[in-house]
Amino acid sequence: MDRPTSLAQNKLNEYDKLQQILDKVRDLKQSLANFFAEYEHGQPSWPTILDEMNVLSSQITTLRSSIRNMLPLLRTNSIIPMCISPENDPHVEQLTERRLSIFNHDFMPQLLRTKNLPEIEERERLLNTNANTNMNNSFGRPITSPNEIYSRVQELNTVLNSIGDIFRHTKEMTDKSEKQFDLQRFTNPGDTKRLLEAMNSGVGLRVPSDTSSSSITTNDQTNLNQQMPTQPQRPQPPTLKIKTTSRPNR
Amino acid sequence: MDPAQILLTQNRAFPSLEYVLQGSIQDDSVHLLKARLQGLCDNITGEVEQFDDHEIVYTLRIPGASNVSLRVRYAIDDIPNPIYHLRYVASAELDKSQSVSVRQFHDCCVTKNIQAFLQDLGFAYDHEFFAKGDIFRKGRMKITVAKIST
Repeated sequence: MDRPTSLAQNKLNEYDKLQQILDKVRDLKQSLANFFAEYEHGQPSWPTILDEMNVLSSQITTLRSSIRNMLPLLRTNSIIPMCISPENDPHVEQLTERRLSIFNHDFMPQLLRTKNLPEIEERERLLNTNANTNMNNSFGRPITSPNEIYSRVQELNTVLNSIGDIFRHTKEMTDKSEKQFDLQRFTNPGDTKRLLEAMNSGVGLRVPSDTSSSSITTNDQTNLNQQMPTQPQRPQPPTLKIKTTSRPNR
Repeated sequence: MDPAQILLTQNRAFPSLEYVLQGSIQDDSVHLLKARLQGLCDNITGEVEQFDDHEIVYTLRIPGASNVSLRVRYAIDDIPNPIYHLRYVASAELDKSQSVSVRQFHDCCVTKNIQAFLQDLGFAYDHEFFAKGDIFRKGRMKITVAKIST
């Protein structure tokens, strides 16, 4: 008696998970529709666009994680189309919210396709060919001498290291979390300091001159200053010259 | 009281004050900043306004007092007859009550004789640099993202 009920419970759990995913997809669709509606109504401000994008990205992330949790289940179960009819099916129409009305030969392979994206196919192909070239090396040879054992151990170590590298590489590629973005450095405080000094007081922008010539120039400057009238501490703003013309008598 | 009110109570001429904020960003993230600014500032859909300026700073060294610096700036795009722009900025006053520093400034458009004029006045050539980048506006705010070179 235990088995059927536990199976039934398991089936219920899976159904619940599927329902959760379906709800999440519906929420995502709703927020996308909201975003497009806002966009149609004229130019929304950048902060609103950012908020909507944040909502969309968080929804996509939760959807991804819930599907990831379901992966073992999806791998063990397969979907088989039971009946395909070339006529309108009102049940299908109602389930898909009027997006799909006919479940026929043309549309079914599209819906239930399992072919990978070209990039992922390329990656899988590379992995397979690399694995084959590695495999061809040594695994069939019989062990003859202790030296052979040592070299065989070395080969196995290199193979394991390369497998570890491949794992790390794919983990980096697929697991771009927010933490990595926050760890990025966009400014360099030392550069900021140097730039501010350069812009505000010219530090680092002056052409270095010899000390002898600079002493000569300062002497010239002091002579000039004594000859000219005293300079004001702050330059005055330019004086306005208003030209008035007399109005002709009517 | 803020600096403008203090100066008014002292019966000085109406001061032109500006808020100033400066920072830096690395080359590989500049496009992110430009995209963000383009969205936040005026003229979202238009072309970003670019500028390519040459700024020369003249200083008057006064023995026994702080130096006075004047900045002469012109756009390299206008090369046959550029419009020269003279600017004086005081040192920024960091007021604890305000989160952004304030400084006095004076602006003026001048002819190309300004360089000879300043040298005749006694100002000496101090340093110069080229600034090339984009300018964004938001109301009365001006935001420039530029690369400084010599």
